[in-house]
Amino acid sequence: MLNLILPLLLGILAGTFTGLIPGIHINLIATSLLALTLTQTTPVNTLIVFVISMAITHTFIDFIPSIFLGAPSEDTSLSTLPGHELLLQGKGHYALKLTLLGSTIAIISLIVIIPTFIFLIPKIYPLLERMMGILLIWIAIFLISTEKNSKIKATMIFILAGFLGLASLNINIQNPLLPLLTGLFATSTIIHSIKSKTVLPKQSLKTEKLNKKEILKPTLATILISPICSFFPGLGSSQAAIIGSQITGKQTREQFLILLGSINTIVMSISFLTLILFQKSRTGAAFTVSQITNPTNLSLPLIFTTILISAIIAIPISLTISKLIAKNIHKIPYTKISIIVLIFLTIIITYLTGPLGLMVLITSTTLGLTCIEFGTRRSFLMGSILIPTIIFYLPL
Amino acid sequence: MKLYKLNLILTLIGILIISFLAQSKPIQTGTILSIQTSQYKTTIKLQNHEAELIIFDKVPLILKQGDQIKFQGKPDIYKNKKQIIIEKMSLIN
Repeated sequence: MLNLILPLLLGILAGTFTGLIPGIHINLIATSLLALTLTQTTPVNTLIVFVISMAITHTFIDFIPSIFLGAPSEDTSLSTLPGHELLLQGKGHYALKLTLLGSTIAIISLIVIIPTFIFLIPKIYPLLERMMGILLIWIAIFLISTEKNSKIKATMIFILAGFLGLASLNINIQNPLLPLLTGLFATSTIIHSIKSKTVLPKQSLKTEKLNKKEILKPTLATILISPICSFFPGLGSSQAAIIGSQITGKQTREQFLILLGSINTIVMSISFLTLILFQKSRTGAAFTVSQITNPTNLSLPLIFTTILISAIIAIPISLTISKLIAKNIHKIPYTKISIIVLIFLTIIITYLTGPLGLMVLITSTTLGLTCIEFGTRRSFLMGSILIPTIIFYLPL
Repeated sequence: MKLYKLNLILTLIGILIISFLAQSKPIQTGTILSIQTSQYKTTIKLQNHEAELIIFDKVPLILKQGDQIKFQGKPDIYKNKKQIIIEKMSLIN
């Protein structure tokens, strides 16, 4: 039993670390783990429990930096993300609570989703796999058609991101996604925040009550969207959340944050199920598990229990850290924190991926900034993954 | 110049440079130690070379053990083993 509890706790600790530190992703820890000779002699289940608990904890914690860092000033509302909107109103802790509520909904939804998946998905998956390229194109068109601002600008950002993704994934560096995604979503947001000289108000720890009806919509969207997240590689949580919002109707900012939290956790949880059912790894963590053992040998009860316990422990950890940050963030100059994080990210990416990685980071940052300046939804930057995936699946 | 225009220009220049760098991978040489063919790929092991060469094309190869080849490809790690996914390959001798 100890050989499962210890990796579970270590995994939660590692997930807390990767979730809190921008630029350090679970994939980095997971691939480093595979390279260790120690892992050759470690029992398979010990490694699997470590990777899964780390991945699930990460999905709870990683909203803390994305809500508390990189917020622009209020006058740039066009490009403000829902979490940042609440932070600028002094409700950063409330925003985090909403994402945690979403992650909890995701874990509960698994009880409904897992049996459906086991029964239904193996029957329709072969057909969907043959049509994957066409379906992904349809999803891309659908996402662009839902853009409220300029559709031309959205298409331009999507295509440019695609070209950047294609070039970066073929460049001679290991883990090209690290500089690519950091530039598109993290450093560009932080630079924009520094430029707008944001001053944060004192954060309140009070939360507003949501009624059952308000929670029902994101819950329904989570259940409906989960197959899309698991089938289609290249789709990120935010695109899935946009599709979910379209299916269930207009959502408030609070509901959208719940949905983001739930999709983030559900994508990770279901990726392990997809690995068992189809031997396909949709996330870096699932890929690591596939490298540790043959996916057909994986135990579903072990995976589900690990997900459940990790979630139960990750919630109070997230709340404690968020409270601590919310109480103190207004005391520290926000621009200074942003500059320190920006320098840290640049150093760590240059160290891990070399000058070529730095080149990818700079280019993806300028594209991310263009997207913010355009006032276009940042989810179109995921064209960097979606377009290479479409090309891979199209029978050219 | 508006800031978004400057960002856009820098992005285009960056994409062009990265695309150029993606094309210009180093050319390496080696002598074939063994060739294994399966339904989806061909794996080539080289003498004094840690990484295996992986070819996903379904083109029949006329290579044999002892042949000297030059190749270009993308380094990768699969199941903790170093690999090079081959993009171009030709016989030297």
